[in-house]
Amino acid sequence: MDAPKQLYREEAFELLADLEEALIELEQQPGDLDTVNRIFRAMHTIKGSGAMFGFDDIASFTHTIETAYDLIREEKLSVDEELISLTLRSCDQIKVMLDASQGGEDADASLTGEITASFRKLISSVEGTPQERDDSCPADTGGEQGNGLKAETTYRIRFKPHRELFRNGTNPIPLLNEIRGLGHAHVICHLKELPGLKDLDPEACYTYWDIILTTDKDIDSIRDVFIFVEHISDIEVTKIDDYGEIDHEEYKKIGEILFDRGDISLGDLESILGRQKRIGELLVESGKARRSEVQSALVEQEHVRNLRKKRMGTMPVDGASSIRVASQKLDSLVNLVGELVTVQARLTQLSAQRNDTDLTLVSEEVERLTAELRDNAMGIRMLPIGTTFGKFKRLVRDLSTELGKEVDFTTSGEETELDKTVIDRLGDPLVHLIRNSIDHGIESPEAREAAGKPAGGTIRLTAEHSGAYVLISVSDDGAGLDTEAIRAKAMEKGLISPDANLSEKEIFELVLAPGFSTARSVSKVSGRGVGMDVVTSSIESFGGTVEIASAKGSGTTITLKLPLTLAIIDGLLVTISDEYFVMPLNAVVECVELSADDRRHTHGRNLARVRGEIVPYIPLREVFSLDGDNPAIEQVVVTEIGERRIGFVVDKVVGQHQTVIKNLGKFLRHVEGVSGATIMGDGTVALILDINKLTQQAEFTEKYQTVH
Amino acid sequence: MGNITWHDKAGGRGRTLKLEGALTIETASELKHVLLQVLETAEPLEMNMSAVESIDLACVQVLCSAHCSFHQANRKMTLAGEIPEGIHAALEALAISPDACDSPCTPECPWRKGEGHE
Repeated sequence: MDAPKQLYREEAFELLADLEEALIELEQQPGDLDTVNRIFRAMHTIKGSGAMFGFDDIASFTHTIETAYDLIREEKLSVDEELISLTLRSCDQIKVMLDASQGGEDADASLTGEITASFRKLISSVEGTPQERDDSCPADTGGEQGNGLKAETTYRIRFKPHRELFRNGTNPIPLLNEIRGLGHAHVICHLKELPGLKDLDPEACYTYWDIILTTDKDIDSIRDVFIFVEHISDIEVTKIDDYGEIDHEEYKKIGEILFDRGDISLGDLESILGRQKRIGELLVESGKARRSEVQSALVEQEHVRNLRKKRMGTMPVDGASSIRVASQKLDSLVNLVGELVTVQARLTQLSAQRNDTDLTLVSEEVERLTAELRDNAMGIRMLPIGTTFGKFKRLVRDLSTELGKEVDFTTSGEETELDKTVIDRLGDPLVHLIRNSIDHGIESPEAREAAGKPAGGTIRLTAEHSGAYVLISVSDDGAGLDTEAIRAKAMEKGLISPDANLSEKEIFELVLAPGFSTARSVSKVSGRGVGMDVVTSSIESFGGTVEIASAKGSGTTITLKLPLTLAIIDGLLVTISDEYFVMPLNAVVECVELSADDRRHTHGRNLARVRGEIVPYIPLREVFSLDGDNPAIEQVVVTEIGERRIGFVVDKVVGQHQTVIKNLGKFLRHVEGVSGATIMGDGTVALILDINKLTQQAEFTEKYQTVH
Repeated sequence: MGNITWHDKAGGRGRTLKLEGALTIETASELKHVLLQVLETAEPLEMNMSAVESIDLACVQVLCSAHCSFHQANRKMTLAGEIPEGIHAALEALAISPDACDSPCTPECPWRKGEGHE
């Protein structure tokens, strides 16, 4: 596939993800025109670029959908669940078409036809609407001025002459023409006060006008037009739009316009808004407003919306200042920066040895620049996590419908940035967690009501920064974890001994063990017994941790703690014998000395006393079976994992070290307790310790010894 | 000044009200009077405005009101001949359009472009 086509595919997939998110939002708030506009724009781009790059099937398929959303934008068509489902199906179909272009299976033409037909039916249900949207120029306001660049203001003018207007010798036509001459105007005439022929005074004026005028003239110029009739007319001039208001193209709703004009009361508006129908229709039906008044308000709305749309089109868009780069290019940039960091470390080391002032100066300068370059390169790889949140909304919608549960899905912290690699690998674990929440967490509406909870459950997906980590949590207000059931199951599976004394937290952690599943039935959704341990191993594989908090009856929260980046970490360089090791600095709390005396005091048990607190430690020399004797005074590097403190005993702490993480390669990939390696300034290799894994291993050994 | 005259239709089948010249406020009272007379009889009304040069709002109001009253009385008020450009221009300048009118007679509005003749 050639490059532009590939680019289109990538962009289309992103747009579809955004589209799905917007559709779910629209389903929750059917009246939100911002969302409708978002959907319309996404469809428009998919269609337009599709045609440009030869995806004709996608272009013609999307065209019909776009037409429907244009009608919704104009409030001619209402949003309902059926429309949302239909559009979601369309998104799926577009995805199939995109895949087909890359050698995937061809899209089912009959399904395409079926969806298109359904949309056409919706479109034709709108009275007097042309079948398809005319693309020529939807934003054309037709005025002589309207290039959208002048500092123009839009006014609403109500010109209501008194009955004696004609007797005064005034003809309103020149007045109206003069107003038209001031700019781009829409004039709407009202004849509602015209009586029947019998009661008609042929010399009285019963007509009045609403004028929506966009002009670069000031309000006084408008009033000047009416200067000779102002004593025999009611003239109201209201500013309704200003050149400065460019932040959104949205304009007031019809109800608001009519209320502004005094055509309806607030009470009328509120009573009508309670019903699910288009406001204009309702107001006319209920006799609160006349059709001509609603029509006039519609003209105003369209006038201003078109104007704003046009204005927005002339504004520079943020997107124009960004470029799209293949992620491989970024990866290689980061690799190069990594190499540079290594070389810089070497330079620093050399300059320290040479004791040459000039060299030291250069070396310090290189160090500073390298650090900046590193931060910049890493920053480019950071993406807001919200990009992945969208697809979960769809997942929740589909799953809850399938399982007959009512689930409200909320997200927060979408703007939290995380390394692209981490985000890419986060998708599957999150899908699993959310599925679990819907399937096992949230109860059926009946069960919830019986427990005194609202029938609909809530699942919250949140992301937030916490130091060098990002915390992502999935919480539900469902049944919570059943500690007894977990305990029983763990005993049955031989994971714990019958007399094991476990805290609630330890019991929850059992859920994360391989092969553990408490689901009563194996469903399509989850419960195949390969549940949480997959999530745990996947999260741990990139240096994260999983934590569970739960209260029976009120819900469960699962928190993933993830490192911000996977490429470079700040590490603490330590040595054991002649070997170098790096520990992730963000986990290190403090370093304390461990003398032979201290060891004796604890009678050979691996416990250190740190300011009165007992901290268990892991002697790394033994773990890695390294030669050499323990020095008289060793160092305990105290780390914090979750809420626990664990010490790691090393010979010497060298100091802080900026670490470029290198993979161990496929032969050493499965070595436990080591997450990677880094190259030192002098070319030697230092292993990066996986302190989570080391702790788990130590715990396992400890428990194994206790149980057996 | 406008001119309002009755003309016998060919074959003696009824009469046509012919409006001519400039229909201004000076003609409005007479126009109302004539139309009201027809409304109060059982006679059907056929009008021909093809010779109207111009019209002002006062006369437009009389015609609109008459059309509505005829509609309410379940009577026909029909047009013979074309609506001249002068009338269309005035209606456009006054922004009078059946699309923005509430009257129940809107569907048969004589001002609808292209429908001004039988």
